[in-house]
Amino acid sequence: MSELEEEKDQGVLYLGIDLGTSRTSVSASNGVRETVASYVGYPKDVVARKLLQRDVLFGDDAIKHRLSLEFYRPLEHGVIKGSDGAGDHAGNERAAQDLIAEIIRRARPRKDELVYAVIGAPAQASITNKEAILEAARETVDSVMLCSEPFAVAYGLDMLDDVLVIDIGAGTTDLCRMHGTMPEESDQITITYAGDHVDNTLAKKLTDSIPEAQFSIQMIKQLKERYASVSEGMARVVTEFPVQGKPTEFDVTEQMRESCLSIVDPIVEGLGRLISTFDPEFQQRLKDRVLLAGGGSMIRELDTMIEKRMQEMLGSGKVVRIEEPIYGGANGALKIAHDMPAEYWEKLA
Amino acid sequence: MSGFPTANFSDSAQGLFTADEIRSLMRIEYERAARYDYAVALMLIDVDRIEYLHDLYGYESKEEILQAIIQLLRGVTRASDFLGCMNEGKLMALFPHTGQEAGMALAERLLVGSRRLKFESGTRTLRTTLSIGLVIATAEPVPWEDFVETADHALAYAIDSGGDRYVMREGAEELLDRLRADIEEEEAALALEHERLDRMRSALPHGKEVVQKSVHIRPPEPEDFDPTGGAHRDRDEDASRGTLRFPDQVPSPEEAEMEAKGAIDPEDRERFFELVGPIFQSLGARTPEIQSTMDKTVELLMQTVSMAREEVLAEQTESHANAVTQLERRVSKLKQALAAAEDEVRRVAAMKEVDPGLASIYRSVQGLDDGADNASAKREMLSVLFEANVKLREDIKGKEKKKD
Repeated sequence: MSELEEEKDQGVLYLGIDLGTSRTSVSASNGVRETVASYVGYPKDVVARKLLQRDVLFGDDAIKHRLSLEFYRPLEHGVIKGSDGAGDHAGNERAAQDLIAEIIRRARPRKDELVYAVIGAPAQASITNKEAILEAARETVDSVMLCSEPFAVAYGLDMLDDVLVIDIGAGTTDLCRMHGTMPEESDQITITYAGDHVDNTLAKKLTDSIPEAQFSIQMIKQLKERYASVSEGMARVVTEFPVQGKPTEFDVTEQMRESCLSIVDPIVEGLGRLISTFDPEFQQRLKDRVLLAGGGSMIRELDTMIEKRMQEMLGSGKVVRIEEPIYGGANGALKIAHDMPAEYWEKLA
Repeated sequence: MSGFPTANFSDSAQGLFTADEIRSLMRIEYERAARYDYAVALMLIDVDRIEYLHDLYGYESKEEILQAIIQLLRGVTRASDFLGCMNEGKLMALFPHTGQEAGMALAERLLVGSRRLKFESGTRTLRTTLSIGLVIATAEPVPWEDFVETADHALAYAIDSGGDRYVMREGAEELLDRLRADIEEEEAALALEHERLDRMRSALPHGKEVVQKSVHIRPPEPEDFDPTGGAHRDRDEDASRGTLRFPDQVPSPEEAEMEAKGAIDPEDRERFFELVGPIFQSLGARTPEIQSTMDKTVELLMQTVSMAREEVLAEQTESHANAVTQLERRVSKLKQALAAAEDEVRRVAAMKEVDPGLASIYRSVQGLDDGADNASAKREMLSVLFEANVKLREDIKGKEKKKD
């Protein structure tokens, strides 16, 4: 028996990883599914280290203690920050490596198992960005492949023919046209109208309308995750912000709705580009099969609003929201990892 | 002088890896060792005072020395070992299947080898030594970064201690075991010392615990009493051990008590009589007065010697008590160190949240089932995805080559 075959006998753990700007999720072939907010923090000094009793903190834990930490959100627009040469690339790369190692640790692999991972990357990530992700993953897995996030979503749902996938993340929204073959570059569009755009728009609107209120972008993010909606009849969003130290109530319903709506038209325009460049015979079929995925798809009534705008801008449209927005990408990546032949994994090991 | 660069040996004929390559390869080997449970040793090696050599004798001297050390390292290692050059002339070596003893022997061999190296710089002969940080993987593997950090600490300790040495850092369990063994040994010694102290204390008269001053009384020499210069007895004989007491003389109750405690040797009286006897005999007939004076003299001698002995005994007891106190302190400190080490191990274990993991439902690579929906289309897509990943790696390699 060859060494490789012996290794195989130890077991193979497949991982599907959705490395997101806001959340990083993993689905594993041992049944584990985990998600962590994509934040990494390192104690600023010895005092913080003693207090926190840890060398590195992740997710909500890192957010909670961010004032005592060198705080990183290592991904931006779906790729490692600074991998194109700007900013603290080394720090972000280290944070990304630690984040990937953490999400793999949370998948609870056994020490004696080979770990094969498929990582979803933004559809139009540059070679430098992909290299940075590969470099980060190589430290902790035995073999790794990258695939485009919307393709992973479609593959996971077994919808590979004449489908338009909208994957709304925090940093980017990926639009992908599936037509029975592997999507090419021309089949994919990445735009930055995504979760972070909603946060920034909402923050700006609040600053303009209630300048006396004090808030941080984290507070805005939490508010959005709780109340985001594009529905005309949405429930009132009443929240408290401190004003000169005193908690004060504000009704931010309109600002919230308008901020969420700000991503709809750019998405529909992107869909229009993908549809209009497709075989005219199948354009209608594409319009009728639009999959809405990613964390941003949890904005209430977003599917209905996209449908409405598609009807207005493109004549018609039928949008279906996937059942598990958080794990859609990771589940698809896991399915790809499972279906990938052994020789491919071995060649990339 | 050699022209090879210090930070990248992969371009040279040395065959060592770059810092990044070696880290990556060593990590893989380290994790393999953990997976298949075999010993692995890591060494970080620094040439002592290399920066001073650089400043004093120039870059080329530094390079020549480094090259010689690398040759030495390659000479004592196997082809399967991982050798690499880190920053600032530091070398790093990972030795698979190498346990503690072998690792220590290897480090010793490197130290001895480096001391034998000689370098000529102009009219001067330079010699160099090494500092080595050694760490052996334990049964409970730690993350690779922690492993390297431990070796780095060991190296820093070796350098700070003056260099020309290796320092081996133990794993937490080994350290705890050693501390426990130390404590056991010290406690056994302490128990013995306590017993001895108790015996000494019981030998002292009641209430006599502390000696105020050191007393030394010279035992009476025969010539102190004998006008003949003690010609009648062997001068080498210890006077305090001479025989004095008449066999028929019964000791007083105080004497009996002191005898019982060992402060008075029962034979002392006979020795003293033997010593003073000739002096009184020289005075003439043994009158009752002479006899009485002789008895009193012997009594006085007995008391003086007894007091001196008591004081010496008390002094010894005090000194021993101090030694015991010190031992108790040492044991207490060792116990504190053990408790601190155990706390640290618990903290680290809690941090690591040691988890055996959850087994995958697959024991082998699966691949696409022929019966799956759209099997042929999917197979083609997977093939394209694989090719794209292969191309991505090639592009990355090409980009790196361009950079170089």
